[in-house]
Amino acid sequence: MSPTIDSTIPDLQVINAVVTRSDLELFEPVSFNCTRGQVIHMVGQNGVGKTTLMRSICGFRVLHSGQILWDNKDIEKNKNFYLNSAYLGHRDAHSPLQTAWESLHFYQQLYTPGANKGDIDPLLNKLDLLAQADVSVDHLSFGQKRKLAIARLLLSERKLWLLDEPFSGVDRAGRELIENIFVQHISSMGMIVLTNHGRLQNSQLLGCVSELELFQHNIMLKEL
Amino acid sequence: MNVLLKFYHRLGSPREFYKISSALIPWLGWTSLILILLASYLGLVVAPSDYQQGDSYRIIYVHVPSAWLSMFIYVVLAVSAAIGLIWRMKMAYVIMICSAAPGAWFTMVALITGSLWGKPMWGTWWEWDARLTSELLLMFLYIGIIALYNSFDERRVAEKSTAILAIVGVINVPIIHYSVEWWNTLHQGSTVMRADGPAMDVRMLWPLLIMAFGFNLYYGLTLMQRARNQVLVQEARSSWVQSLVTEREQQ
Amino acid sequence: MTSTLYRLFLRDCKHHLRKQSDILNPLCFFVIICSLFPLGLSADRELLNTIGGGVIWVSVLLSMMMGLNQIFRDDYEAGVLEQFLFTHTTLTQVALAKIAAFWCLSALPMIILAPVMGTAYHLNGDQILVLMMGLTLGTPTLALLGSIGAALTLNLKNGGVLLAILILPLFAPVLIFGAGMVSAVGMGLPVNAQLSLLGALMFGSLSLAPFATSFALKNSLDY
Repeated sequence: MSPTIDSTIPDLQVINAVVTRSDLELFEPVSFNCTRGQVIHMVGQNGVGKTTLMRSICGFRVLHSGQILWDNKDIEKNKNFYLNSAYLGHRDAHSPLQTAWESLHFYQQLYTPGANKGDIDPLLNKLDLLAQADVSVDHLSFGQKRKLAIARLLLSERKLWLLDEPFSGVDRAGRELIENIFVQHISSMGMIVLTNHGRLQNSQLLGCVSELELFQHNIMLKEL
Repeated sequence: MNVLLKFYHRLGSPREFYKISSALIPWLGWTSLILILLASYLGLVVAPSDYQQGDSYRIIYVHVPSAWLSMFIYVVLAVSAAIGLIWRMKMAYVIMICSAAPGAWFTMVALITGSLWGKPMWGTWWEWDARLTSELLLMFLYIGIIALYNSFDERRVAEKSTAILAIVGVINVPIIHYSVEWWNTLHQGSTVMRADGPAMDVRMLWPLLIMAFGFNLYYGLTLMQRARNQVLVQEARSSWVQSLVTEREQQ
Repeated sequence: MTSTLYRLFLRDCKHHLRKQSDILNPLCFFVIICSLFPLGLSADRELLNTIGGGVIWVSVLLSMMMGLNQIFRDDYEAGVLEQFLFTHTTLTQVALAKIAAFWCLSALPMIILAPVMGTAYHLNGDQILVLMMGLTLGTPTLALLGSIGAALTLNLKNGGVLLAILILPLFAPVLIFGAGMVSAVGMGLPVNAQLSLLGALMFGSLSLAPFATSFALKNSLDY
């Protein structure tokens, strides 16, 4: 049941996306493409709607207008899109009632049913979390939870990573670690769309980054 | 068929709806007023007194049409909810949410008049009669719909959530109705006598039907007006509403 | 497919057992409401026998509603719910697994406790048996219908009271048939009709509610 990987390169197209909150358009229409080996770094001032756009790309929110295509098909109910992407939002998506290991095991079974349990420990080790394997997620620090979420991305083996503030709460060493993981992902022809305050530091990574700036929508309210 | 389809599509656009409803409103308003006045005259003056209940039965001219409408409106609400969910039609949601308040009001009127009628008939303001009880539960369903819609900030989410609830509700309405009727026969049995009698005098029946029709048109009227307001609010930023406002200002 | 459902079910059961307040609070609530009624009315044996079935049913309704508010909330707030979209698992499966786990750990203990409560209300053996049968057939319907309300109020800050307003009217038929059975048996009447109706309601809601719930869950991610 693993997602089929065909020879054609599926890529993400966002065409004139407009999102609204309480009927107000947040930013000027946004268009971009994301192809293999590319990082799209969304920037823009606070409240401009980066998270909202990210949630729209995930299909959680309905776009006001515009289109989001994966492999030239709308992402709505497009299983092919969902089985080729992984999402990390503000919420780390680890149940506080599970341990770090259990949480990863749970996702492993969801992503690739019947996968080898033994793969989890090396993954935890890669993110410096092996000592916390049997600690309840609730007792992990912010940074550790974030790193655990990155481990989940690796576990998913998906092409497209949609990351909303992946570094929040992560210390310097962790940040370098995560950027290295991004470099590996990109060099194996992965794609990343991310929002992040601050700049990315890894020079290898910077070579693949396209910045996408969101501009606040000009509200022209006529006097009523 | 083609004409109907076109009309349907026109109604689907808020702007067209606004135009069409402008023309319809005076018709609805006057016809419903005339029908209600006519029915009131026939019902209160022409129709004979009931041999058992005297004049107190005349409350049916308000009670029965309200009760009919309270159920009819719930069906309208659920049908438009389904249309909204399936065809993603903006106007369907507008009709849905604008029907909720009139529906709740008619239910309220049916409950209050039912209770007023109960006093002379059963000697009590409230009787756990099957019809009154299911009307009460219908009232709760309306309250739920209004409360749910109003608790969301984002209209898009509110519309869908309310639509789901409305559809779940409409499936349950007959079940609730029959279960309450069944419960009533078990617990109350013959203690409650309904005095509708087997056949109603024609002079009593006609005003009732005319009144029901008048109430229906009145519902249409309030629905139109509410929907127009809702459309204006929803489309406040569109050019046609803006030009409408500037036109008004110039006058 | 089945194994996914089973795995999700086990995970939810495990979570309920780890967060024991999820199970214990509604259960205590159930016992307490049942105990308050005689205090508010009287300890008259005949009266208690008459109202017993209804009181126990209403208490079950209320305690289930309390638990229902929590049924999707933990996973929603942790951000786990939205991750299911990125897997082969559908939200309908997720909803079914959660409802099943909720029923096992919330309704089942109440069904087991029902004879104790029934005895306290001086119900006779037949009545207690019928009460338990009714609860067994009726509580799945409550859980299924309630899950729709829980999903609809998921992204509201104070969804608890609203949930009650939305779903309690829908619970009316189950209450009527369930409690009606207990009084019918008390009067020596047959209860086949009520049992079949409760069963019909259960299968009806089982075939429709999970879809409404999953649609509502998807909608709750739109923020």
